[in-house]
Amino acid sequence: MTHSSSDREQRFLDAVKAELDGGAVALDSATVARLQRIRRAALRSRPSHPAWWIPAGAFATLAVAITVGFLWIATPVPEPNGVLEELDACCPR
Amino acid sequence: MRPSPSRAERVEAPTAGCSLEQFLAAVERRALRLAELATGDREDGLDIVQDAMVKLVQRYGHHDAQEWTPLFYRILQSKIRDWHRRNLVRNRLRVWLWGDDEEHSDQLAQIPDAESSDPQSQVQTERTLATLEQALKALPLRQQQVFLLRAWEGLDVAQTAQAMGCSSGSVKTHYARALNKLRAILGEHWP
Repeated sequence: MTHSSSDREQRFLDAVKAELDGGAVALDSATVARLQRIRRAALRSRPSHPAWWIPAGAFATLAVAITVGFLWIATPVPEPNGVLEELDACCPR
Repeated sequence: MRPSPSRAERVEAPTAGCSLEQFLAAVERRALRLAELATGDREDGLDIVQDAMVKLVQRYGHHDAQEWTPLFYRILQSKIRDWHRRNLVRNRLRVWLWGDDEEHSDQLAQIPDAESSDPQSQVQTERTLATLEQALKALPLRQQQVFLLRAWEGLDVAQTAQAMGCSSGSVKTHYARALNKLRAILGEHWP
């Protein structure tokens, strides 16, 4: 493509863009107001809770529960400390 | 030729770091014009824009701002295709009632000459835009939308391909064909 033809093409595209921009700016007030209402209604439909932290919170809760359960199971049960000897001392057979 | 809108008037493209509300405010007018040119009806265009905004907010509002533009236009194009599928029967009936391709070609020939009137009048400006709109509506849908996304919205080939759900090669082909047709219809020295 020659330099002059690419220049003509760019001028054509610039003219098209300017016309379309002008048409978008010149929308009537009723249409602009409707677009504003549409935009605000769409923003109000935004989920109140970000979706990502729901499964993250569930995972964290599960991890804590597993950790607590593991520690509870792994904790050794202390032996009764001299209880049987004391009973024998009180009540010898 | 219409002078470019002033900086205060021009609908600025969204930039990185803007809020979702700022992004939607920046694209809403162009999105409506895209949808209106695709459907030929402003009410249908408004419905499509509304559906696209809601879907973007609900599903992708938490995404990075730089992703919103290609995502929004992908959703918009999907809604436009859905509209055309729903109206396929109605459109076929319309073509049957209003004629075949030959009459469509005659409609192209009836596009008013933008140079025939006083270039300094508001009527001339409006006629120029009407001429352009008629030429855009005469394009096949995919060529029209690819051209608008590339030439007006400024999406690059990859972003346009993502929005249209097609390959980069298809985008280049649609764009080249649309540009050639518009230049043939409107003339090398339009407006």
